Amino acid sequence: MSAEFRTNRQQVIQNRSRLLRRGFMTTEVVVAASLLITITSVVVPLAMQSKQLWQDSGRYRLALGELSNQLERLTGLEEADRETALAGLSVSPEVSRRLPNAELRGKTIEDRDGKRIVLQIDWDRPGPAEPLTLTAWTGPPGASVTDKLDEERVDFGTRDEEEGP
Amino acid sequence: MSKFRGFTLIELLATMAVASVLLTLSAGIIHRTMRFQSAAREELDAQRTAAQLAQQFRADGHQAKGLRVTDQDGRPPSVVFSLPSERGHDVTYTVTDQTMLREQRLDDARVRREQYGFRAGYHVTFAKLQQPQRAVLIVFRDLPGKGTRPREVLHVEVEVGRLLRLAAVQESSS
Repeated sequence: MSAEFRTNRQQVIQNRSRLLRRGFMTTEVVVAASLLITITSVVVPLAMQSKQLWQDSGRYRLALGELSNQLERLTGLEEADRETALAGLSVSPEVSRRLPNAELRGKTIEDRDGKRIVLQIDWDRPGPAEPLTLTAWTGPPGASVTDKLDEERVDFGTRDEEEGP
Repeated sequence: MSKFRGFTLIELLATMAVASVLLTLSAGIIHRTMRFQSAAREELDAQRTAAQLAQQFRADGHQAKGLRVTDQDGRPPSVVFSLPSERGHDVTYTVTDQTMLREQRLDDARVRREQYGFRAGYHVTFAKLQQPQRAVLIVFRDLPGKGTRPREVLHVEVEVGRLLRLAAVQESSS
C-alpha cells in the first residue's frame, strides 16, 4: 500500500465522518434555546397581561353599574328608609357571582358640601387597588351645618373689616 | 468525488415533518388570535350600544311620570314611559329580533325611531321594581357551552319620575 493511497483513504474517512455527524453542537443548542426562551418570556406574559386587563375592565364596568343601580335605589327612598337600607347593604347576586369577595359599603355624609350618600365597592384584585367610589347628593347642607357656615361667613367679614384701611 | 451535495431522503422527511408541525401550531395560534380579536370587537360594539341605550333609558325614565311593562306571551316585551305633557309624548321601548326599538311620537304626528342593534345571542328583558318605582333593563349574552348561564352585559335600574320628584322637593323648600 503506497503512502499516497493511505493519505487519500484517511481523507475520505475524515470527510465521511464529518458528513455522518449526528446531533447538534453546543453553540447551536444554546442559541436555539435562548431564542425560544426569549420569545416565550415576551409572548406569554403579554398574553396573560392582556387577558387580565380584559377581565379587570369587565369587572370594573360591572362594579360601576352595581354602584350606579344601588345609588339610584337609595336616592329614591325616604330619609328614614334610606338609613335602614344603607345599614343592610348587600351586592346583587350577579355581582357577587362575578366579582370575587365583593363588598359594598355606604354612609351618609353631611358637611358644607351638602348632604350625600357615598357608596364604595371593593373586590379581590391582584396588587393594591383603591375601592371604587360613587357619590350622590341628596340635599343641601342641613340646618346645623348652614348655621355653622353662616358663623364662619360673619367671622370672615369681621376680619376683613378689621384689616381694611 | 469528495464533496457531498444535496440532502438524504431521511433529512428531507424530518425537515418536512418539523416544518408541518410548526405550521400547524402557528396556524392554530393565528386562528385563535383572529377569533379573539373578532370576539373582542363584537363585545366592544355591544358595550358601546349598551352604554348608549342605558343613557337614553335613564334619561327617559327620570323624566317620566309613569311606567308600563308588558312581557306577555306572543307579544314582544316592551316598556312604555308616560311623559308629562310638557315633555312630549310617551316613549316606548320594544324588543324585536336582535334589536331594541325606541319610539316617540312627535307633535306633528311623525314618529321618532331609534334602533339599538345587538348581534345574535343577545337577549333583552324588562322588569318593574317598587320602593322606589324603578324600571329595569337587562341585556344578556349567551355563553358557549351547554348548561352555561347567560351573562349580564348590561343591568340598568332607573328611578321613574326622579326629575318630577326633585322638582317637587325644590318647590316645597323654596
